[in-house]
This record gives sequence, C-alpha cells and structure tokens, in this order.
Amino acid sequence: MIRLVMLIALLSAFLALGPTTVRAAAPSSEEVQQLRKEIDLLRKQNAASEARIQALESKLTDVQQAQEKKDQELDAKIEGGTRTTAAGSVGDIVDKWFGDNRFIVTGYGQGTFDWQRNDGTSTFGARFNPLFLYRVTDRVLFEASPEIELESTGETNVNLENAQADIILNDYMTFVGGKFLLPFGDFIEHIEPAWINKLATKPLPYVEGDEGGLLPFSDLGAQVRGGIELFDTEGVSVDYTAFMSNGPRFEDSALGTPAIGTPFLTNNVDLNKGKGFGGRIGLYPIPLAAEMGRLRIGASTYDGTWDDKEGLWFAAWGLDFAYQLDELEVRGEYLQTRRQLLGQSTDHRDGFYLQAAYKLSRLGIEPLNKVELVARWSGLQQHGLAADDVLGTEARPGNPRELAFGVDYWLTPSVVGKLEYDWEFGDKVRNDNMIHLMVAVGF
Amino acid sequence: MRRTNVRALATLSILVGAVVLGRPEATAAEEASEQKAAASEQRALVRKGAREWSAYCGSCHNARPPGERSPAEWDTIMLHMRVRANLPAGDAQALLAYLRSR
Repeated sequence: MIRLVMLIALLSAFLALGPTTVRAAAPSSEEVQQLRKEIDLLRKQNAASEARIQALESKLTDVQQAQEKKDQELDAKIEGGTRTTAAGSVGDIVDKWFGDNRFIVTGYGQGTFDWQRNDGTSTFGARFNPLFLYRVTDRVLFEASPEIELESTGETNVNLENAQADIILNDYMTFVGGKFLLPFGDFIEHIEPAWINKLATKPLPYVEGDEGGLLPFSDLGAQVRGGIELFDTEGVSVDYTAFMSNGPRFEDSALGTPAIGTPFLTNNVDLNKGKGFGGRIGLYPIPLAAEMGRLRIGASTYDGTWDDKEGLWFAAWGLDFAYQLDELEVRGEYLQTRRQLLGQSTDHRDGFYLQAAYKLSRLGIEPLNKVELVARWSGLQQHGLAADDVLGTEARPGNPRELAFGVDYWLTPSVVGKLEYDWEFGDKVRNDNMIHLMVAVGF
Repeated sequence: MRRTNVRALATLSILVGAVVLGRPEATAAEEASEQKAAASEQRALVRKGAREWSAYCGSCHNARPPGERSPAEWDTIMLHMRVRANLPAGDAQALLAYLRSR
C-alpha cells in the first residue's frame, strides 16, 4: 500500500513538474540581447515622457499664474468700477445734481446737404434728437426723446418722438407705457437714428407716415416685451413685443372724404373708441459658439380702426431679417398695408428694401480702414394710386424704385460722415437723381 | 452622584466651548469660499459679456467702446438697451458686467 502511494506521488510530481522543466529552458543569447534592447528603449521613452511631463507642469504653472494675475486684475476692475472717462465731464456735472448717473442725456444730431435734380433743390439742413434717460431704480427707467428739426418753411419743428416708462417685471417681461416707437419691423426701432442708419436717407417704405410712408413711427399706449434665451445656448433666443395703442389715424379720418394715399396723422387723442393693437416676434437661431455671424428674423403686425365711426380697418404686416458677420451686414424687410375705404376699393400698399454694407477695415490701409460701402434697393407698390390721387398730399405717386449707393467714413464708432447717391425710377414715376451729404454724431 | 454631575457639567462646557469657538472659524472659511465663488461667477459673467459685446451690440450699430462711459452711466444705458433691444436678462447682465469692468 505504501509503495502504491509513493508510486502515485512520484507520477503526480512528474506530471506536475515535467512541463515546467521543459518551459524553463534557458533563453538564447540573441533573445537576451533583444530583451535588453527593448528595456533600454523603454527606459529612454520613460525618461522622455518624464521630461515632457515636467515641461507641461512648468507650463501649467505659468498659465495658472498668468490666469491668477488676470483674475486679480479683473477683480480689481470689477471692485473699483474704474472710471475711464475724463474727469470733469458733463456726466460728472450732472452727477452732482442727480447723483450716480441715474440721469443721462444721450441721443444724436445731424447736419445735412441735399441736392435733388427734379425739384432743383440744393439745401443744408439740421436735426437734433436728444434722448433723456432717468433710471429710477435698476428695474424702472423713464425715457423721452424730442425731435427738433428745421422745416422748409423756415420754422423749427419740435415733435415728441417718444416718452415712456419702462418697468422690468421679471426676467422675461417688461412693461412699457406712454408714447413709444412703433414696434414694427427692424427699421423703426433699431436703425432709424442717423448715426446708426448707414445711409443718409430712409428706405422708401419707411419714410415717416406723415410724409407718405407706409407706417407711423410712433403710437401712444402700452406694451409688454422681452427676450428669452432658448435651449440654454448662448446667442439663441426669441424676443417678443405685444402692444395696444390709440391706433392709426389719417389726415382724412375725421373729414368723411377718405382718399387713397392719404398720409398718417399722429393719433395723440384717440379719434374713436377702438384701439390699435399689434406685435412683433424675432428669432435669433445661430449659437454664438458657431461663429457663423448673427441672424435675426422677425414678423410684425399692426391693426386698428382708423375712422371716427370705428367701422373701417387698417391692417399691416411685415417680415424682416438682419444678418451680420464680421465686416458684412445684410438686412431687408417686406411690409404690406391695407386700409378700408367707404365706397371705394381698399387702399393697398406694400414696400420693401434690401441693404448690404461692408466695412473695409480688413484692408489695413489707414484712411480706408474707416470706410464702409453701402448699397440699398427699395421700392413701393401703391396699388390704385395715380399721380392725380396725391395732389396736395405727401404721398409718392406710382410704384417707385430707388437704388442708393453710399460711402461712409467712421471717425469714431458713433461719428460718421456719409456721401449718398440715389437714383429713383419706376412705373408712373419721373426719374430722379439725388445726392446727400451728412455728418451724424451719436452721443 | 456629585462626581457624576461634575463630569456631566465639564462635558457640557467642553461641547458648548467647541460650538462657540469652532463656529467663527467655520463661518470665516465659508465666507471666504463664498467670496471666491462669487468672484469666479462675476469673472465668468464679464467674459460672457466680452464674447457677446461685439455680436449683440453690433447687430444694430457699431459697438460703443466700454471706456466711453462710466460704470454708473452704463447702468442707465444698459437698462435702456435691454428694453429697446429685447435682450434676455442673462445677456443684459453679462453685457453690463463687461462694460462696467473696463
């Protein structure tokens, strides 16, 4: 029995140790050399990696220190709110009286020279639009802007362009009450001021309503408005405005003899009980991080009864867009209006403009760096409006088209000299040429 | 019984002392941490405003340089621009933080 057990043990040991003995055969000298080479290579690679890590760590420390320094500088600026305007400025003087710059006078002024071939006019002109801002609290602002303009009759015309209280109700809604610029389209609210408008003239549909344009520039009433970021994405947002107002009024509203093409009249005291209402919605679809420029597309409407018996409607709607990428800017609008007339066909008018501008700042040539080239095509369709219909009114007859070319020279971001050439033509329109020179100062 | 009372009183005193003395240290640390977080948040807001300044302001008019106005003047102007341009609240705050910081 003992022998049997020993035999089994020996057999087991042989089976267990046998293969190991085979595997443990000594490596050849070539294999050893190869392994040594590989080890040397790995050591070198390791040393190179360590050196690289040290270099990166050193660079990281430099970056961290630089960042810390920048943060400290930024903190100091944020803390101090460093004043960078010259001491003793108008702001300082106003500060003494009103405190903490709650009250500010800003706005713009312009000097012009206009030459028109058909009318034979060649005249200088001027206009001044101060904008008074009073910040009552961080959520309440009062703003007013009188427009002071020289009339061709020799008189000085003063018109209250807007006077409104703005109350921020929450992050998404602001209440506005008073006389406000009509929140319709892009031109009236955003680019009408002379230092912003890249041309000396307005596009044909946006000549002011009392001068034959398609819309009044302001109205009295109340509105809610705001902007909301979408999808938590910087640059992507939607904005809205909804308003109720006195509504549209025309020069013939109370006369009982309405005519096609009659200009608007400011509806300071509502001529009827019916109110005007309207709104605008705008969308910014391109994220800032995409670096593909900024695009805004919008849609607007403005409606209301315009006669003293509240039976006849005025309705307008429009679409607009604006796109900006570096030195390039393109914008355009289309709008359409319809005014019901008693016993006559509807006064149906529509208009458009398309404008492109390009700054030459990339040329790197000093005088041209501040030059911007502008071109605009605009037009009006005045259905059923013949020259005879507009005798004695400001409205333009026919279906005019206008090509305008401009060269702007920007002395500062808000001081510009403009030279503009206009060519007007179209159906039932007498061709005309105009040259405009303007110096506009935003302050 | 008396010895037990003394021990309980001593333990209570130590606990109260720890709470009273420990609290200011914890509050100071918390305050420092909160200040650091607020400063970091403010810096992030300024950087967001710097990114948006040219694109947002420039979509209607040339972006006005921050140095043109004092911080208090920017407070009033940005309130006006927030309403006129229908700026989302977060963007208006970021632009104001940037304009005030220069």
